[in-house]
Amino acid sequence: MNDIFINEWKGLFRNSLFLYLTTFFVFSLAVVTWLGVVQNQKQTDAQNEAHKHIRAQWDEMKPTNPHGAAHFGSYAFKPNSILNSMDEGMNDVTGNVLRLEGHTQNDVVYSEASQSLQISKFGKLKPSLLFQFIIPLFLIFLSFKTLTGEREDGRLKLYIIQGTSLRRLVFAKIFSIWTIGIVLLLFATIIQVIFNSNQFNSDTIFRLFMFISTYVIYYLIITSLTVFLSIVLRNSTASLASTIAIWTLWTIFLPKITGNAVEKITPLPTRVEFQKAMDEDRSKGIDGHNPSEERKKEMEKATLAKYKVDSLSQLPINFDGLVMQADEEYGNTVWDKHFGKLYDKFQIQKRNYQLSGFVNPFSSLQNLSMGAAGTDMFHHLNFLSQAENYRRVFIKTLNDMHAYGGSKTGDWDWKADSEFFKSVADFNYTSPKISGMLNKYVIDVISLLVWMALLLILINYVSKRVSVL
Amino acid sequence: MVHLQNIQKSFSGQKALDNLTLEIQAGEIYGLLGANGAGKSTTMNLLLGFLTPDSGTITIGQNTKSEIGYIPENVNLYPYLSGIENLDYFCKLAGLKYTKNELSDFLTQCGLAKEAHHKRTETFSKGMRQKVGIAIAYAKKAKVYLLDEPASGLDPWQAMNFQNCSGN
Repeated sequence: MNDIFINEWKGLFRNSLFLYLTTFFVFSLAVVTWLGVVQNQKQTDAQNEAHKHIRAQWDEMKPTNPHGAAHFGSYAFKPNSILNSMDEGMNDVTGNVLRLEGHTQNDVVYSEASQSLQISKFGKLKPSLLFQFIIPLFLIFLSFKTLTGEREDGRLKLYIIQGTSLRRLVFAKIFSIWTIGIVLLLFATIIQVIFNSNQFNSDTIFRLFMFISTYVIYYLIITSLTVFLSIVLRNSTASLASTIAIWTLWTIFLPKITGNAVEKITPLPTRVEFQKAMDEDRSKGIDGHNPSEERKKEMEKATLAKYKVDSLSQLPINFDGLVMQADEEYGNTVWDKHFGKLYDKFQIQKRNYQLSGFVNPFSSLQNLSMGAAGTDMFHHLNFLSQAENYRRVFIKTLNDMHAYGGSKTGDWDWKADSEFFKSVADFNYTSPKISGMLNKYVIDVISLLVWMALLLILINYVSKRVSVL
Repeated sequence: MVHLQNIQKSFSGQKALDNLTLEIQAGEIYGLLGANGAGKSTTMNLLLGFLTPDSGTITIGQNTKSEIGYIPENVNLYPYLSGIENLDYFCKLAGLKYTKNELSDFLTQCGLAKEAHHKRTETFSKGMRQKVGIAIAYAKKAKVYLLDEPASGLDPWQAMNFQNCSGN
């Protein structure tokens, strides 16, 4: 097997066209990976800069009414993971800045300006594009003639007469071509590691391992599929045409068909419908500025009883702060209800999409690649959830100051001092550890392993039975 | 050495071989002649084990592939390997390891000029490739050599040259 493996590599490296293409490809890969790292660093720097600016605004805030500060708000920045430069995943479309303020839970709508290229149809050249499309195509072109070529050249008979089994020949060729893909993948990974070595921790290493393993398995699948078709089809043209047809189906048609299907199975409300439903629920509660009299009266009665006084003006606290916090909490339950349902739908859609991996391993590859890079929907929802939790604490801090900071009910001109605003904590996103999220990717892992095992078993089976002639 | 007994072979109901019986002794050179469709290639493929007879038995020595040396009509070597590298590679596939000198001797004995040994076979003529093919079969030290129209496409001088070296 080693001899065949070495011979295949010799064949490739003595082929000047292959060498030129590989050199060009490796150069492109190096440039794209490096640019990805630089872009990532730029985004991180820009975020840090913006973060510092926001912090400075709070640190230097003049005495202000806490509720006014709640409307002034803050921002939650979704930090880029190191592997974001390998696979940007959903970050292209979700944006990475969330405005946090009182009364309202906003969407992540602030995309970095450099991402605007996405709006055009051209897209950006990213390592994930090379990993997911170009390297597999390269492997297809290297392997489509694996058996048909040997048969057409008449060498297959010579192999068999020299005592090599078809099975041995086929597997040696699969492994030799597969390793080309692995080498290219490792090359990009090494560049990534070199540029980010100071930021690596155990989680990043685990993520990188998961990232590489996913591609390694996918490349084995794509090589095995091509070789399988090369065994069962009688000529190289048919083998290449069939492989390209399947690859196109996997990468272009099925993802769109699956995307539409999961949307039909679990439809999401439109933004207008969703907002309307939220507003309806919200209007049933207490609003800080337009209080629902009934609820407000109940709350007023309970507060007066608690402080054993007869009127709001006798309260040692600012009742408006309590009302606003109660409104906030009611708003939170409305948000939890509606976004909870929405997130459940996202998760169902995602799971259904993941199940499509059993038909299309490319979707499993994409899911795992984004998951390992920390740029998929699960990571995005985790960010939204942490940002919302922070927003609640942030607004409660301001409302509590309004209520208990020393002002009286109705005193909207009261101002908290600068020291208070300095003490308001920042949002710091803690990226989830991939080890704690592995259960979310079980379907994708199983699907890739099933594809790999199935193809290897099929190749083993047909290589024992296929005619040499 | 080679024994074919009552061999029958049909393709889609069309009989290619009908009750072929053949006995070839060690040291004997046996040629199959016939018109197109006479069944020469079918017989050859049956002997090589690439086809199985519908009925009848085939025995070649101890019935192992190591006893057969084969030279096809067109020896398609790996063009990116030299003559000696091709020989070395195919020998290794058969589990045979020879030194560079031994490999070179095989090629020389099969009539390939010394200066061609280290040239890539993409520059070889058909006759030169056939010589490497003979060297591959010869290096295997097989007991039976099956030659499938090895001189077809060669010019008369090359054909005679080939005949001489295969006779050796």
